[in-house]
Amino acid sequence: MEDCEKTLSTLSRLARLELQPEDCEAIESIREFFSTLSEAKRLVEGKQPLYHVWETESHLRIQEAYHQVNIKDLMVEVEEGFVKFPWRGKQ
Amino acid sequence: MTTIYQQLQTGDYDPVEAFEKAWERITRHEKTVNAFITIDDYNKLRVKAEEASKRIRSGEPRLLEGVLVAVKDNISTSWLPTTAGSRMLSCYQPPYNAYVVERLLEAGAIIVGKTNMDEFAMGSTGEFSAFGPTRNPWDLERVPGGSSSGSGAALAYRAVDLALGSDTGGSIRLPGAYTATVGLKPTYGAVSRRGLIPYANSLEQIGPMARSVIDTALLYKVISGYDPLDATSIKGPGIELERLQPADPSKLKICVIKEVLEASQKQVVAAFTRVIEKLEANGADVNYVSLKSQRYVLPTYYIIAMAEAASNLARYDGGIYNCGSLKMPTWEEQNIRVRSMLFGREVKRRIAMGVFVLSEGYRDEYYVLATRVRRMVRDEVLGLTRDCIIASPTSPVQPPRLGERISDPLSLYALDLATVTANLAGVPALQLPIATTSEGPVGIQLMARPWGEEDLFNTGLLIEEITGLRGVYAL
Repeated sequence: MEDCEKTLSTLSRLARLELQPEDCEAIESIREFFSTLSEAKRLVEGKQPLYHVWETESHLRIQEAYHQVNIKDLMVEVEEGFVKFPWRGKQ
Repeated sequence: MTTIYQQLQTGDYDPVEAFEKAWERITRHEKTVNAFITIDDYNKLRVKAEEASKRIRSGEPRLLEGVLVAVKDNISTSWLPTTAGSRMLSCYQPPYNAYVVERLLEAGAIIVGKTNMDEFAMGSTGEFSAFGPTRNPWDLERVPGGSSSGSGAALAYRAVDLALGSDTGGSIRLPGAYTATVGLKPTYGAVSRRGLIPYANSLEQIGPMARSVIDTALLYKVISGYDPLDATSIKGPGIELERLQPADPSKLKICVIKEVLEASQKQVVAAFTRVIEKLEANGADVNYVSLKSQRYVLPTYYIIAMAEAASNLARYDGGIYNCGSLKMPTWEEQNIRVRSMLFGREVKRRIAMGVFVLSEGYRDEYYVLATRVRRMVRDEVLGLTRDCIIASPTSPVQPPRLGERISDPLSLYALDLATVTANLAGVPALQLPIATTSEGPVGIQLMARPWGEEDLFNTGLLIEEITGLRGVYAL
């Protein structure tokens, strides 16, 4: 239990979340569940990780604007030092 | 049962009549079922239906003219809020439409509303929404499956004709199985993810849901296609609706996954076996196969999904997404407080475990190992689907009762036993109903080679003929 609370505190810091001591049980059971994968180690010896199913290079967006917008034209008001954009919450 | 596709073909689809009937059902059942988070205004929708009717009368109908569609609430719409089922996004209205939404509008569809879902698509039952659980129209005490719970339920009580869901590990197919509807998880890259609120980028796909195979194919035709603005979009062959027809059973090779069958409930196995035996009797070549990687698919999937989720959900830092309701003295405090207050329990759990599997000292043991096992899963599935349609029950159980699996995460994850494989391998998978019993519906899942959607639809049409379960509904 002490171990789990220590883990919880580390995860809490890394994930930027407040986790509760009652989450300990679930987190421990998920961790155990993940550990069952270690049985597969011998089956994947020499295999490379697969991060994307098709292993093709992702095509990145062309670095050009489809249309240019002058940001100053969109500024309708400044509130407490922040710019307010008209499209927020507008239908 | 006439499908929407047939009605559109014959000119029998009347948008105004369809809308009025659907609205009447929404008024009657929505309070109990809770399939929607947002429903658009009656008058606006009625005007759209009238315009669609005019267009049909003038002889210029588009592919989905006046057809009523529901959109899962993690798919961006510029005129309706998009919450992803989370309090974190309860004030969020996107500044643009998702690619698939644009395609729907261009095809003349009427988007009725945004459907309920497990928060950020993290769930298999539809109980983890910040807007309350969705109930299964077939049995209100049972779950409709998740995470596209509202899309499945809305179809089952005929609030809409078609629906969009998203599928990261079974989120279209489980609701399909539990609500006796049809759903497709497309080939990875076949449907643009632009405008989808991300959960696990390498696994998720937007997909069509309907009450029949041909209507699912119709919606797939509209939303699929290459999108240059989505780096994961791929150019593929597409489908021709006119070419679809029930598969010839004598030319069909089916591979049944033994491990999934062995882990399934008796009633599920019985319904599944009945259909497989009929296919065999009609000439299909049925083989019972073992997938070496099957026993590892669940931990592999959950490690990868949670790692990607932890990264994706880091953007919710208490800044622009918190509706401005909470203001703490420092960014650090604001960040932690907002995330802790506005994320639900399951989301927090998955972010924490995602951070764990990526953390120093554990990364190789969990995340990297999972990506290597994923290669094994993918290669095995690609090998098998080269000349075979892989079949299994979609869910090992019938729809659980509400609350039955909410407190034990592992029993919740076990529901995805048959579905996560297709996401890990990137192949298409189709769910369709094969039985409706007192304990709820049962579904079959078919997996094919990449871009094998047409094979899946044809096999699905054949199974529909065998079971007679085309266009079924609960209420």
